Amino acid sequence: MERRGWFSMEQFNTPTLVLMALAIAINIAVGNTVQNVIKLPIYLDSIGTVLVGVLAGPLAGALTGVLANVIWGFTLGPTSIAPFAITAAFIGFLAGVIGNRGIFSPKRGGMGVVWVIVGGFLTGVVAAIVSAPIAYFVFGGTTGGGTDVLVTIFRGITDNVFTATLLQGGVSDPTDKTITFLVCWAILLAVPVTVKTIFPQGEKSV
Amino acid sequence: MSEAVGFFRPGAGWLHRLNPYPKLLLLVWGVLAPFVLPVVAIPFLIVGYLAAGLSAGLGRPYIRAALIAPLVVVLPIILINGFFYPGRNEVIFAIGPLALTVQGLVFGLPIAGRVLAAFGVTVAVVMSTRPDDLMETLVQRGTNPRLAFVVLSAIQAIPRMLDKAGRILEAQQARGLPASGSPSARVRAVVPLLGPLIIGSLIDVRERSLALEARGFSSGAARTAYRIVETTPRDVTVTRLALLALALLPIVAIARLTGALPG
Repeated sequence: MERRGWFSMEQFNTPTLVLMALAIAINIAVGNTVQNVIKLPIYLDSIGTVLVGVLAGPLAGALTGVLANVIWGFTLGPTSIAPFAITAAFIGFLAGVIGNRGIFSPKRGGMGVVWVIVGGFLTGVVAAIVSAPIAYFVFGGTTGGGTDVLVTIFRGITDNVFTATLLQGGVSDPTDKTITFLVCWAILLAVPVTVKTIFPQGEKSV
Repeated sequence: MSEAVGFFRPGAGWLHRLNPYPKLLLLVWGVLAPFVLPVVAIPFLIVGYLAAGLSAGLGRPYIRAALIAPLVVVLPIILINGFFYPGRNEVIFAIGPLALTVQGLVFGLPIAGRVLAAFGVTVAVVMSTRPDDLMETLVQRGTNPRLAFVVLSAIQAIPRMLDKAGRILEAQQARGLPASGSPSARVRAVVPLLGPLIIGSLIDVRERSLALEARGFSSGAARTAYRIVETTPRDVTVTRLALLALALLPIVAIARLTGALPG
């Protein structure tokens, strides 16, 4: 098969665009339900972003992340999530790059799960590093979510507000993204092959 | 199924009548200004934005979304910084082990103000702008219509998806799934929610793509618009003023960074 570049515009075929729209809605619906109805202290608001990255490619994943964070404010009312569009772009892009390695394919078996966990963890570490300056400069470290408890605890340990913010992200993001990657892996196992292959990078997960 | 209106509320005030493009420029300025301008400007910006929203007839829903809803974000900023600012600080008053400190408030209050200001202007613009009019304007100005499709179709899908998530959760609860209680019970509640919601959506994609292609989605031929967004002479003036105001922000930023402007 011809090798497609990470920035190739071929990622944006019609099924990708349809998936992106649904993925944005999935991010928001699942994120909102998990945070406000089930009330868990994790975000789970990037499942759609990771799915698009894995199935369509890095650029499509990145764009899905950015749009989801901006559109969130336009539908459910403004939230503190919009500035983290940059983080979401990194998450979608990394999911695309990692998905391109074929780790979401059921052929990988048990080792696949290990790589999915490693991939999710690494994406979470990057997300934490990208988020910390945003959380610090825009919000002074607290964003009004369940993670504020962690920020407060870390402020008792370190003397530096930025370090406390970075530590909070360092705990929350790798956990959240590892769960997100595992959820996506489980979903992709259950999705029929004929559905996966309509997407530009879908063959990598078959 | 409904139109893509999102958080938009119908109205006839001056913000509703303003073209979405200058409104978008004003939004960008309004969000950046509290971060760029000196701290003393923040209270004036907040009052100005609220006055703008109210004079545009956005009313009580605007106050609720712009002043009350952001408290979830703003209060923790003031309280956590006020009481838990690291290092040795001057104490204003203490309740048991908790002490409100000067340094904490000096750090927290401007941040809280900036966030409140950004909320004020965003809510005003979002409440007075139809997303489809906004995207139509952007497409007229050269945005790819395929991007507009993604944005609008997402905005339409969100209420449906939220509704579906709620219904799946209720259906699973009716079968005995505990969605409240201990943390581990709540984690287990997530799994039976995600499966049906996401796998169903993925399988829908093929049908929807075929339906779109059958209607010439990728044809590349010239498109006609369902909604026409007009640009009045007033819109042109506001656009120019907004661009000028945006151009001034980097100048102020440089002046503050080099110390030419205090605050």
